Amino acid sequence: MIVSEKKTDSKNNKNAETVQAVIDQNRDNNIDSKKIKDFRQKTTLKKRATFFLSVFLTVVVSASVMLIFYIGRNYLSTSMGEKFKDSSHSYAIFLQQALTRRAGFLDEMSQNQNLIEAYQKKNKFQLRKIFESYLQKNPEIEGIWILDRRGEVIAYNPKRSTGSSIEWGKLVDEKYNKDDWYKSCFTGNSAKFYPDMAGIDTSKTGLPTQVYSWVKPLKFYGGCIYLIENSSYMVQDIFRKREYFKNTAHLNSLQVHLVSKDAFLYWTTSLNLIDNFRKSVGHIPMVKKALSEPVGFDKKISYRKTDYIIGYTAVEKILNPQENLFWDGSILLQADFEEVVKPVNELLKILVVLALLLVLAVCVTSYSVAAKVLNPLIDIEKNLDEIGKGNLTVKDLKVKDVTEIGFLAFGLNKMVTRVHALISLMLQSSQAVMEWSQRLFSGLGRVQKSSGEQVAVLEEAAASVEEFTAAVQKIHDASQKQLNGAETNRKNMGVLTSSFEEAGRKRQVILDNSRDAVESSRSGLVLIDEFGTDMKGISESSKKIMGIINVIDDIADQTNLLALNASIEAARAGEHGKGFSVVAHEVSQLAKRSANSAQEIATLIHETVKKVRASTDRVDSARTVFERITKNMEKLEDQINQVAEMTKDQEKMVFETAERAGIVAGLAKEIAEQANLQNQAAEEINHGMGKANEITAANVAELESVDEILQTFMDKIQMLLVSASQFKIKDESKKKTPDELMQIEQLML
Amino acid sequence: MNGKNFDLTEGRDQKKIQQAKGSSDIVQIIIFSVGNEDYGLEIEKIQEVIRMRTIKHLPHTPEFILGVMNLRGNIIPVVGLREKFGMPPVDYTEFTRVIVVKHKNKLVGMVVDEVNRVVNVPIDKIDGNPDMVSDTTRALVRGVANIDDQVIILVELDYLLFSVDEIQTDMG
Repeated sequence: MIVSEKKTDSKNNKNAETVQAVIDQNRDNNIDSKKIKDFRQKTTLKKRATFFLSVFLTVVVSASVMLIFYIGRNYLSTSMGEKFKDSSHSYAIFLQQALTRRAGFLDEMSQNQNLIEAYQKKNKFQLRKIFESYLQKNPEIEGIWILDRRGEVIAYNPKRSTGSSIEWGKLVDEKYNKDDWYKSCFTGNSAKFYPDMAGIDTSKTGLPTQVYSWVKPLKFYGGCIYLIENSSYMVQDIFRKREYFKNTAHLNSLQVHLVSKDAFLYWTTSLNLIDNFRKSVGHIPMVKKALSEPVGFDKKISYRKTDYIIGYTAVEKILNPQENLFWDGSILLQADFEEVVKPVNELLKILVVLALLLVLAVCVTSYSVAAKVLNPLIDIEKNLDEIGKGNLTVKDLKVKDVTEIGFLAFGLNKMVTRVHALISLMLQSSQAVMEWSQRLFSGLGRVQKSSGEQVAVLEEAAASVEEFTAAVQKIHDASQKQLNGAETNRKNMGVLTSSFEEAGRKRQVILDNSRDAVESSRSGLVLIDEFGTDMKGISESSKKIMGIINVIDDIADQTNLLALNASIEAARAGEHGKGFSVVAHEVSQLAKRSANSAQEIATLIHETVKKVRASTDRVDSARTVFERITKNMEKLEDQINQVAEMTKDQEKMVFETAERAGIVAGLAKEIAEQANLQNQAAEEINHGMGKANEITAANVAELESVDEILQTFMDKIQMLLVSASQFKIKDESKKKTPDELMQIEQLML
Repeated sequence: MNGKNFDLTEGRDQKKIQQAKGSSDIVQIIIFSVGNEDYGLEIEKIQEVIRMRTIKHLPHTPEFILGVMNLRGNIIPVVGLREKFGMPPVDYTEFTRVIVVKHKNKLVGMVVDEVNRVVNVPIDKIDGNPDMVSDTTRALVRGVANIDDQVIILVELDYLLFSVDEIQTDMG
């Protein structure tokens, strides 16, 4: 034993060297430390890059959004501005043309003696006619509404080719009868065309209802309107009303021509108009437009921050050139572009602030996200590196959040503890195995000794086998006795056989009787069938009789009808038919009586048929009963036959049993022979025991080779111990007893 | 039969009957039934009694006008007395008869459930002016006969066939 221990010590040293060599080789093949350093630097760079990239992206996105808005705003401003410019420009041109035309118109009017006459006579009808005929002759003068001093429409030309009044013309064409509408302008019956003008109380304003006929289209379609003389006062009243401008927000321009001899009136009307329009359109202030230089009246009207220059043109003296001077001017009211764009600008400002806030938010979130994601990852990588070096004493990672990375760290921690526990367990258990193997080794010697003792035991077993052989001999003797008993049994069976033969004769008599009974029941069935056929014959003939009775009944009925008609005829014949009437009566009586007796016969026949039917039913039931009896009889016969067969079988069986008793005696003989054979087998077992002795001796030789195998196993365990000691393990793991090790193992599982 | 005179002043219906009968003491009456009730009709009014035949229905006619039937080449209108009396219609049986009457010189058929018999009634057994519930019933009843202690209503043809006149005119 001492020699073998020394051997193991020298082997331990050798094993340690080989394990170290293997580990070093593996380390060379793995990633070297330079590469690891590179990897760490790259991770840090990536961390920074992700942060800056996200910030950069946010800045770009918000900047582009703002840029789009800026471009949109510029586009809006240019397009809208041009639109405004266009419209104002076209209005200006139109106004100038209109003014020129009207100047001509007024000139011509002043030359017209008829007009002057009509005006002086206040002949409205004539005035209207003159204006109309003039407008018809000069269709290029369009969209002129001529009002007299009471605000009534004197003449107008609704077919305007320019401006939005054309829409009005269309509306009138489509919706209303144009003539009606036109008439309403002169008759003041326009309320039905403008029911929503109810907002203006005419009784309070003192305006004639006719005014609404032109105020309404102006309100909805803008355009150009001429106010002459005192009509301006009335119109001014309307323009003072906020109601009028309630729904005019859709108008971006309104143009009003004022013709008045009173400059002050002209001025105030203009101001009211401007003010109300501004209020109605709300946030959009006015942009004024100088249309033409004022003549004879030089004044600039300022209104709030915006200047309004109202152009004046010299007005011809239409009626009394010396006394009445008319002021004529035009006002163009237009929306301001800057005001339209204002909300867009404000939106842009809000957008800038929002973008800045967004950038800030992204910076904060991206930094925190990067910190959250990358820092734990770096920690994990460090820990993994230490584990790779074999250091299992690394600190546990802190698990802050329940995220994927948190789970990773948690898993790593778990793995380290598990691996640590496993390695220490492995170390301890291999030490324990070592100890056990040594004990086994020492035990082997003892096994060799006990093998020798086993041989002696086997010899004792051989002796006991011989005793067994003797017992078998005794069994042999007993079977011989059984053979004798079987012979006596066979003799008793002979008596039983003779009594069975007597029973067979009686059975034959029963069979003959049952056959006779079946025959008689069958002949009864045939008789019943004949009876049934007779009954059917009766029922058929009674049916025929019923048919005949029906015919009789029918004839009686017919006769009755004939008698009735005969009595009718007789009655019609009056006195001559009286005798015939009596005959008819008698005939009808006869018919009735024959009908009655036919009916009686019918009932009688009915009764007969019923009875026949009843007896037929009874015969039928009797027949079924008979059939059943016959069937039963046949069954009985069958059963008796079967019983006979069975008793025959029984007889046979008895005979066979008798035979078998003989066979049993033969079998007993065979058993005796078998006992003999067993005796021989016992001797063979005895022989086998000798062979077992030899095998035990061979076993002892095998044990020697087991000794050698155990030696090599212990070498391997030594090597395992050395390689496991490469891991750094905490001190707490000291040597443990095998029982403690078992506990740990169970916990691990 | 008893040779008794009846009162001439007892209303128009009685008068009519008397006029129809002349001075005769005996009236021949055909008894027919519609539903559960028996009715009577003087034999003189009747042309003949026939069995039920195929009736051709006429559109746009009142319910009680069943249609027209062919009587030996003559097309005559047929009135259902059941329908006329406002009873529910039933299937025709072997007893169903058509009483052909001459009304205003035109033949008309009347469908009844059964024609029972001809009876001879003494004229004094007929009450020509019974108390009736309504005018309609009164128009229908020509008189009431007491036959073998059974009250038989004698029907008024003028009432029964009132609506048939128009159809007859159309057909004519």
